[in-house]
Amino acid sequence: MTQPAVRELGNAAQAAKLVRMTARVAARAIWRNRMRSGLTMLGMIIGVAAVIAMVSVGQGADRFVQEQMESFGTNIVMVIPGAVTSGGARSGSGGASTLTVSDTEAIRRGVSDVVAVTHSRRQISQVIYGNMNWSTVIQGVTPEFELVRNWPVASGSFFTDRQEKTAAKVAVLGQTVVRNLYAPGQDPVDTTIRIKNVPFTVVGVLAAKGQSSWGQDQDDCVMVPFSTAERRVMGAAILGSVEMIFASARTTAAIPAAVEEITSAVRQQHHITHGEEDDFTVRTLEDMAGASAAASKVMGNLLLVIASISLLVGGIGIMNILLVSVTERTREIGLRMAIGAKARHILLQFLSEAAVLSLTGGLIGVALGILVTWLIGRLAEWPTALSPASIAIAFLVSGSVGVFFGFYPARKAAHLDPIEALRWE
Amino acid sequence: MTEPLIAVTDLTRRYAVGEATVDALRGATLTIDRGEFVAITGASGSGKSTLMNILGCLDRPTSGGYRLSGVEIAALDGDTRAEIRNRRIGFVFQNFNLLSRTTAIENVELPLFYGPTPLAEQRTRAADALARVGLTHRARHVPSQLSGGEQQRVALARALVNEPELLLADEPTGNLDSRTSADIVAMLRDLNRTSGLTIVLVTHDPEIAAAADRVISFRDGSIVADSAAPARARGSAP
Repeated sequence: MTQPAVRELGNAAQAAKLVRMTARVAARAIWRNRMRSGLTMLGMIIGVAAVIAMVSVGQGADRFVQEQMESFGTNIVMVIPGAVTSGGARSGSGGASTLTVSDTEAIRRGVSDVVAVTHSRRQISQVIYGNMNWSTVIQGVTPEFELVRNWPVASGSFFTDRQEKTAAKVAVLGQTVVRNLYAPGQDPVDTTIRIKNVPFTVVGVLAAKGQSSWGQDQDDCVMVPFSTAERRVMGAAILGSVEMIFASARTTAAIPAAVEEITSAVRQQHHITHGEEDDFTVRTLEDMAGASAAASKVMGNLLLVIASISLLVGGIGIMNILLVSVTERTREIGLRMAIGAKARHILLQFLSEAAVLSLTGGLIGVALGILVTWLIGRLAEWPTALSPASIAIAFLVSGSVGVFFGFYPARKAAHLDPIEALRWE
Repeated sequence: MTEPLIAVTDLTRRYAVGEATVDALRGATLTIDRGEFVAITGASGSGKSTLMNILGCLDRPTSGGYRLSGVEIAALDGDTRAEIRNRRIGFVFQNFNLLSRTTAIENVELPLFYGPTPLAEQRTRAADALARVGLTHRARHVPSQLSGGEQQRVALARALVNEPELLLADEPTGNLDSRTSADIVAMLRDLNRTSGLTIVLVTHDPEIAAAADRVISFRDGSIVADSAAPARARGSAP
């Protein structure tokens, strides 16, 4: 018998050949049953798309809150008047002004983790320029406000310490006020406006800040020196009473320490002895964002559960269709074994079919997830942020789910008895 | 004397069928040399198919020995037997067992997947095998476009593609009419004469069996007649 010279492959090359042939057979088997394969992939597609859209919306919301917090101020800590009981009359937070300018001074002196501190009082009042008028929030603040709230001026300048000390009649306008009092393109700097019949010289215009996280237009305001505000605008009976103190912690990490130091500084200033309740409250933006973060976490977990169930159902679908495929192709499996396929070749064959099914489903799911994310951003105008990590994880999970659920049918195929399989009708 | 290609000694195979057991083979002993063309005949249930499965390394005997080219098969694991089936044995089945919706040449290529042939050589080797059965012009056709005889020739090409030492044909003409049957048998006859390929053919048809050089008859799991027995007894008596 004449044997032609046959070149043989090394182990690595043979493995590479097997992988290639196996992938080709798997792709062909799936293509032959396109309709069935497509329906099988649907679970995977929906699961992966849901994960990606969910993470994108969640991260978009997180980023939005983050940006809001950053725009409110850098590492900001707020002190507001607390519940007090005076002579039997009880009042909730902010009901009585228990904070004073001296509290601000105490914080400035005694708290090393705070880099800047300011206080404010606000009152709604009519502002008049020429024949235009606008009702807005007049806010009396100190010059450090610009630094604490991280809110620069767009034109002109913020008022100075000297103007604060001398109770100068100067004002810095928010963008909304400028839009409502001035003609488009007109520079308000050096014009004169009237608040409660008192003329104020406009020295600066604040940069636009937009809405706060609770939906308030932050640009609808007029900033005046605190001393001027209490004397000229609010007509305060007692000088030095403040509504709110804003402090800026040295770093984000220093916020908890700053909160503690501020609390003890103000307690000392208020002569609150050990065991007595505070008559003020110290809050951070984390406290305020906490509630919405908790809600979004619940929502995120819920969506994760739905996505997991979808992937699970998708995986079971793949297992089901592979079991059908193994039964249908019993004779083929028997034949492949008879002509030299080892058990692991058959195992690999069906596993790769599961992997191709689930990875194709995953890939389509990724595309759909990106599309849905884009649509949500476009139609619902929600902030979204596509995360490459979530895409990669969703894709890998889909592949793993396929291989996991494909294992049982593949093992069943690999353990078929070739003689029985060849006789299968 | 050189080692015979097949040496089977006192082979038994017992199946459990529910509570009962069936003795499909009850102590068969035979040797087949390289280059022989042997027909195995017998009624259905006589044990000839069981013997074929064992000779093809698809099944293992309950007791007894089977040496293929001097290698004891019963002792080998599944993977090694798969390799032997791939490299040294070619199978032809009654119902062809071609993959549907797969072209003739791809069907012929199939055993090369599991062997060491480089990918680039697979197609040419499959084409050579198809040429040996005279079907080069049908390479791109799928089984449903081929006649029964053509399908069996494709299956024969698939069996030959790895240059086996042994061709096992289990009722290869069972699904064919008498004229195509004769063609297939003639082709086997020719392969045996020109290439010296060892062929073991199972058939219940005495006419087909007559084409072989040696006929072994089975009944109830035992050999009842072997046309070469007298000669062999003379040649290999201890």
